[in-house]
Amino acid sequence: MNPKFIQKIASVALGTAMLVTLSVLIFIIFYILYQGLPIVSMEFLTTPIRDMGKSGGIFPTIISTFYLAFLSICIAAPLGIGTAVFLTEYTRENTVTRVIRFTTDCLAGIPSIIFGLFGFVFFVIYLGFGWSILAGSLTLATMMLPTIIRTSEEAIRAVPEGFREVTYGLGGSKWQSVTEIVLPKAFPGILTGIILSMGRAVSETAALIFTAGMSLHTPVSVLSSGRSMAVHFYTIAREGISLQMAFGTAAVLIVTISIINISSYLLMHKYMRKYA
Amino acid sequence: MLKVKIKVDNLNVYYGNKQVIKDVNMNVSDHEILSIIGPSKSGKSTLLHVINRLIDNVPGAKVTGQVCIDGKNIYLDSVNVNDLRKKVGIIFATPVPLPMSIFNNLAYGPRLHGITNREKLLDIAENCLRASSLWDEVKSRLDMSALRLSGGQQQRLCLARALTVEPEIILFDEPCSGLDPISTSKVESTMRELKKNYTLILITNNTKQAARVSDRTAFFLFGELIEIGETKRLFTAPKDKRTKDYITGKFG
Ligand SMILES: Nc1ncnc2c1ncn2[C@@H]1O[C@H](COP(=O)(O)OP(=O)(O)O)[C@@H](O)[C@H]1O
Ligand SMILES: [Mg+2]
Repeated sequence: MNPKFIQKIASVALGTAMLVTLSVLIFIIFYILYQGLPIVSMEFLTTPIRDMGKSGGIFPTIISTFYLAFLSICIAAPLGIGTAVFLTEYTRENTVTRVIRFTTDCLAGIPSIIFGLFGFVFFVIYLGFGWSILAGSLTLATMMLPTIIRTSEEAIRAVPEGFREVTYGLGGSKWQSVTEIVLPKAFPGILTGIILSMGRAVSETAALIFTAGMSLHTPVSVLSSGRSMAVHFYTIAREGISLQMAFGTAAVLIVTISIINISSYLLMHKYMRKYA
Repeated sequence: MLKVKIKVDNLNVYYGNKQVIKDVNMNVSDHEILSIIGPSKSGKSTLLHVINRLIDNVPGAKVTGQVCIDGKNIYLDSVNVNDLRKKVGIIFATPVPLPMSIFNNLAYGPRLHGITNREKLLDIAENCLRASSLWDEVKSRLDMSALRLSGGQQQRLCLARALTVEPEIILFDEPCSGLDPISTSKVESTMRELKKNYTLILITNNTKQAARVSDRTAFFLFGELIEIGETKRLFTAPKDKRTKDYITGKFG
């Protein structure tokens, strides 16, 4: 066979793979939106859950989801970025950093139910937070850490060494080099990691059932229990309470995730243009 | 006799077990341009990194001997590295404009040292751009991204940026290796201007450039200082055979 022919086959095969992937994705999204959107209304979004989810709205779950995502990011982002900065800028590559990195990679591969169990034993029982937004967020944060650390690390490493030397050459300190140049320049990459983990937090179920509980009420403090949209969806779908309500919740969930992704993409784009 | 600005005594530098500078002794006078020539890997860049202690950041590097600036040993524990580096600017072969506007590139150094007044920063920016002969080319577009400047302009911007923190010594590590002849001659004439106020060390792989701009020239070979002297004398009547071989092109 001549190379030209092989080339043709390759591009057809690759193109097909791309099309299949894309159509499966689009199918899923459209199916859920098609099934769910008709029942999504202002009322659906703003009223409490009634009859265990058979009727009423999903307002409490939206609030819980927001709290969980926001709080877990607030906990995980500083810790994760701090760890990444420490690993890349403040230590030289040695056994300790390699162990930390290896452990982080292992953590990333652990199923979320295990994190849920840990969160239950440690945050819910041992620290006595009970089933609560706080326990759920802390658990989510531990799940997010590996992703945030690794993506931040990569983003920080991608910042050219020369930028650091400019700072040092002008008499700046390491801390100034990190805060003035390295982090701003790595920001888009770091943000990508945060968005990815936020997506994971918003769609997490197993770990949250154990830690944030399943309360049908709107959480009033970080110590209230609350179910996120994903947990709500999982429960009412699994227990056959209402498939239609489940699809409605799923549709809202998908739209939420899309909004997060699109807006962060736009933000990133604007930011990169400013910094390029 | 001119005042000695930099004094290097029995300097040895190792990367791990590898010795890259071998017992170097030399002086640099105030307000002179000293060229350093020599084949690559001779330790020329390393010497510059020793003088502003950027070498502190290199894992496994070891420095022995003495380097004094204005009579003060810069390797004493009491020396503040950030102050030293403020005093000793460095320009690399590849210009590294920061990904921000021209003005912010120039304001960057002063801001690191706590100057925030915009009038003052603009003043510094203008003076330094004038000193590096870039002012006329960029005065109307200080808010443009520095990355959009040409290579030669970027190099002069980096020079201007180094000047913003009021150094006394400026180190150039092959500053023209990526530039076209016109940009090169602009940088060279800037260096001759700067000589009035600063002490300059210029590494160059272009012996003609060394001959054009410098007062004295040092020839390094595999970590050793082979010969140092008046540029004209060194190029016309080298004392060491190896120097002669190098300047007549018998080495790489
Ligand atoms: N960061 C480093 N770590 C280890 N070896 C280095 C490092 N930088 C330079 N070297 C080695 O030191 C020697 C001298 O390098 P350098 O000072 O860059 O020479 P020159 O500037 O004359 O080309 C070379 O053999 C080079 O491989
Ligand atoms: Mg070099």
